[in-house]
Order: sequence, then C-alpha cells, then structure tokens
Amino acid sequence: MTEILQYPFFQRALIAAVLLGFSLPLVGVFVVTRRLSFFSEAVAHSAFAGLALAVLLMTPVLPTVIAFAVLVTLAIVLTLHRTEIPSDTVIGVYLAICAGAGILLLGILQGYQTGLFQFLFGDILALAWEDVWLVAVMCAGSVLAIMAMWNALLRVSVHREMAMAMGTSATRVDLLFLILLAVMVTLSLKLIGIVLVTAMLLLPAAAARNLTRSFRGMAIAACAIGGTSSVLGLYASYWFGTASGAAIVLTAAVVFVLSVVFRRGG
Amino acid sequence: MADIVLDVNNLTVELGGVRLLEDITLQVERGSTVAIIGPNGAGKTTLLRAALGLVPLASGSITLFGVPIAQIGELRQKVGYVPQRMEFDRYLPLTVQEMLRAYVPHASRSRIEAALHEVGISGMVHHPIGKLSGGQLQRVVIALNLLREPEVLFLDEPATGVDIEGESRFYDIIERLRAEHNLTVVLVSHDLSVVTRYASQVLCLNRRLLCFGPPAEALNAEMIRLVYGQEMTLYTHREH
Repeated sequence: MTEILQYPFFQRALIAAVLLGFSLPLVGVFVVTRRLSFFSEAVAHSAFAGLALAVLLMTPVLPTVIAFAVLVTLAIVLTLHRTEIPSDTVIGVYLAICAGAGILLLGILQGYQTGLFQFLFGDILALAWEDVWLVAVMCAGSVLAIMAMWNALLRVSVHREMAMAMGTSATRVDLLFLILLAVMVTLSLKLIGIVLVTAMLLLPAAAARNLTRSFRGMAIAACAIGGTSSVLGLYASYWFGTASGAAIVLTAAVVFVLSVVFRRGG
Repeated sequence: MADIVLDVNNLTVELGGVRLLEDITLQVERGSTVAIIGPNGAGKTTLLRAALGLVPLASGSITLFGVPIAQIGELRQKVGYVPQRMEFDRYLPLTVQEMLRAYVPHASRSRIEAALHEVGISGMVHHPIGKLSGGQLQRVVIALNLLREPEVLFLDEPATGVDIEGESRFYDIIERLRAEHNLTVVLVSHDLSVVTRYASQVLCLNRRLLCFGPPAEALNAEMIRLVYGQEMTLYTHREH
C-alpha cells in the first residue's frame, strides 16, 4: 500500500485529492441546501464556450474560461433579477446557449478536440506540482470564503425575505457564492474533470445530509466523506488499474447509497 | 409630542404595472400595536413589505425611526420580522441553536436559552427545526427576534397554520413581550378577534386606506361590511 507513495505523481494526486475532497464538499453543503446542483452543471458546461473563446482570441485558457464562467454567472443572476422566469429554466437556457456556442466554435476550430477533452475530463494523476499549489490556494480560499459567509448563507437559505428584512443583502450573498462556485468548478475542471467536480460537490454533501441532525454536523461529515472517498478511490484505482476520477466518484457514491440505507430516522 | 416609529406618506406601490397600494398615509407610535386588516388581495402584505423596504415605491415615502427606508442601513438591527410562513426545507439538518446563531452570531448559549424560555419552548436548543410544529417554529422565530432586541416588530399573519389555542397563546406572548420590551408591533391579521383583543390601532385596507384608529372606533359595522363584504357583522360577547 505504501510503495505507490514513493512515486511523485501519486503523492501529488493524493495531496490534491485530499484537498479537493475536503473543500469541494464544504461548498457542496450550500449547493445542496440551496438546490444549485443544476447551476454547477451549467457553469461546468460553460467551459466549452469559454475554451473555444480562448482559442479564438488566443488568450490564456484558464483565465479566459474562469472569466467566461463568471460572466455566465452574472448573466444568470441578472436574468433572474429582471424576470419572473423560474431559476431552473434560466439556468437551462444559459446552459443550452453555452453548450451550443461551444460546440459551434469548437467545430470551426478543427483539431482542438484533444485539448478540449484534456481540459474537460482532467486527470488527477497527471498533475504537476504547480497544479497542486493551485489546488492548495484554491481550496484554502474557498474554505475561508465559506467560513466568512457561513451565517449569511445560512440566513438566506433558511428564509431569504426574513434575512433581507433584518439587514442581509441577499443578492450580494447570492452573487458572491455563485462566483465562488463558478471559480471552483472551472478551476477544478482541468485538474480533475467535469464528472469528478460535480460528484465531489454533490455526493458527500448529499450523503452527509442523510446522516446528520445538525448543519455543522452535515458540513463536517461532508468534508470527512469527501476526503476519505478521495483517498480510498485513489488507492482503489491503483489496485484495480482503473481511471482515478471514476474510482473516487464511485467510492463517494457507495457512501451515498449507504447513507440512504442507514439514513437517520424520521 | 408623540414618538413616531413608522411614518408612511402618500404611499403608492405598483408591481408589474398593477397598482397594489394607493395613496396610503399613516403614522405608528412607539409602543403601540397596529393591526392591518383587509380582504385577500387588499395589499396588507405589500404594505408590510414596503415598510420593511422590500418592495420599490412608485410614489410617496416611508421613514422608519425618522430615516427614509432605503437609507436605513444599520438601523435594521432595530427591526424584527416574523414572516407568514417559514417556507424552507424542513428536512434540512439544522438545530434551533444553529438557526438562531445564523441570525444572531454572538448570542451566548444562556441568552438563547433565556429567549426560548421567554417564548415557552425551553429545552429545545438542540432540537432539529424540521421536527418542530408550526406553532413551535413561530416561537423560535419570535425568540430569534427577541435576541436581536428590536424596537419594532413586523408580523405577517404569523399564526397561519397554527390551531386556535396555539394562535391565542402566540398572541399572548407577543402582547407580553410588547409590554415588557416596549416594542412597537405592526401585524397583518385576518382575525378580527385578534385585532379587537390585542391591537391599539386598526388599519383597514383595500388597496386604499379605509380606516385607521382604535378598534372600538374604527371597526364599526359599516366599515366591516366595506372591508369584508355584505355578510360580515361584528358581534361582541362577554368572556366565558
């Protein structure tokens, strides 16, 4: 079990997996509570168009994709603010626009499909030390941001209007959280792939929700499940010779299924 | 000179091109309980939301503690609000203490326990909010407001969904807190018995202001018919 730890590529993957496995579920607790899983998917898919834009404009890929995702987030928030259309419809509209624009542009840019797949499906075993540092900074930033916004996010989640009446700027809280989510999702894409990002956001938090009776307990359990699933999944991928991201996702999925079976009563 | 907490002048509110309130003028004195009554669609909740600064004003003005509502800023700490329904995910794992601390982050455990005791639900600090009855949850919201020590408390049909006994107990608590903490209370209610029993002033609304004054004077038979329709009449009877 320890021999694989001698390899730097595995060390890097393990550190990144633990960091992401801990921090993404912490953000995920509020994604699940505020029913934003569809938004996470939309932002992840906006990377198609962001990537195509980067190639067309010949700008650095990662900053362009992040900037585009933040722009899509702002557009979603603005549309929700100015219309009475349900949020899932607005998010679906922007997802369709981004996916359509991305596919069209990437079709024009023949030959870039390999880069697209590398970007969207990532590989945690292929991370360089610079990537691990990026993950560390990103995770520390997201944990600090969530801790700073904790009470405000909870207030807006429990009763938005009551929070506003008592002085919380719900729009600002929404905007800050959605931008944080957009940055986290797009930064993680290249590192661990689209499937692993959404899975790490949702599965540990959903499992923790089934098992706990307090919100703090839910957050701690989600981080513990995320971190443990990442380590176990990574080792499982080594033992069974399978894709690492998929192994991590399926380990977290097993925990989720167990949480459904053993969920706290009533 | 009376200490005016809420001052509404020639207020008109329109949403989506529909006029919901028209030319409303009223003043609420410190320490009073003002009940807003009217039929469905009369604009009761809209008036409350406007007073809280949650809807844009088409014309007119609202000042709270002498400050225009849009500029109230830190004075919001003096504002309490009990919404009509706590429509949130009841299966969210959240304890009473966590909910209270989200709104009042620095409340000590002893203050939280004292506030819960004051509203008659002692010992529920670690209770999941999803397991509370509608009446208990409304009391938690009152406790939340108490912890914030507001000077004015707005309540939007706070006893909706609570049984008659629970409703009576709820308003008894509000009245006791008003007297003990010198609160100003503005509440929306359908229930005329609540209005006559607890309110010092009643405001009859049907998009326009129809009456405003002490219940015994403002709520005459003609006004009740005007507000609620032809069949309604107010009967008074001795307490059993």
